[in-house]
Amino acid sequence: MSSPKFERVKRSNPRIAELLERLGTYIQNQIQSGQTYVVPKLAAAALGLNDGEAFVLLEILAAGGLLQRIYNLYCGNTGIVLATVDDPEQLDEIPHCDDCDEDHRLSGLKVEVAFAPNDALFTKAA
Amino acid sequence: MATGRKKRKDALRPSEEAHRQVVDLLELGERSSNPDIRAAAIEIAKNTSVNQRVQSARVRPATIMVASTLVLLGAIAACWYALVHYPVALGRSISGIIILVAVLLIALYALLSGHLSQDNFMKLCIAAWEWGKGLFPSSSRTPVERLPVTAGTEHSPTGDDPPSRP
Repeated sequence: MSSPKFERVKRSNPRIAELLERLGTYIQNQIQSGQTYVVPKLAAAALGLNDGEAFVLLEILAAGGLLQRIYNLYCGNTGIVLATVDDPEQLDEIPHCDDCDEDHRLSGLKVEVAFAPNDALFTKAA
Repeated sequence: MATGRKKRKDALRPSEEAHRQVVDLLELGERSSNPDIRAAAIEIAKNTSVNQRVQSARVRPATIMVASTLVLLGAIAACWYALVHYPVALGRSISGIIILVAVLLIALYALLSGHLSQDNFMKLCIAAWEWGKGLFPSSSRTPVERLPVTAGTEHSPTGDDPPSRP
């Protein structure tokens, strides 16, 4: 598994290059199995890290242009994704929930931070 | 405590909730046993904090630019007027005060636009206060300081003292 961007990120962080390599493999597997984004909590569980460590590693890949931080907004009742945005301010423009047929209150919504692939390395075709 | 935290969490807008999640994750990252991850977490936290400040700014950056430019031009004009129309010493003091006020105003605008943290604003205010105190010559206090202290102090007569009047 290699791409110029990924190699650059690993070179910039030589002491965590191995962790980044493992994370890269995990992301590639997730994307190839049909996932469209990576959740820090799940990545942490898969790599044996804490949530914060996984988030920081994902952020390092995002800073290198390999991933993009996104935010998923879920309906609190059904767990359906109402919106996926890359700017957190857009989360406040809450869409109508078709399943519940109502505009949820703030307490009826859930937000999740995730990362979407931004590079050919992490696309299905790769 | 837990109830209070839950209540606060419930009231958060989704964008605020997202920011809180990111901050929580970064705090976890800062407690990592790996020093490189810790350093990266601290760096990301700094950038996140700056971005959040700019995003939640109450005033648009363009407005701040215009206001700061006007303040700067006004200050320059006022300094010129003070130096031309008043004696040199007074003109310099007035110019100093004008510059002080202009810097504080621009800093306030920067604070409102999210380009300056509250901490740095306070540091600037303290520095300005210290500098402002130096604008006024200490000679103005000297006469008061030189006043003889007589009230409440005993004075034992010596041979040098003038004879007291009956």
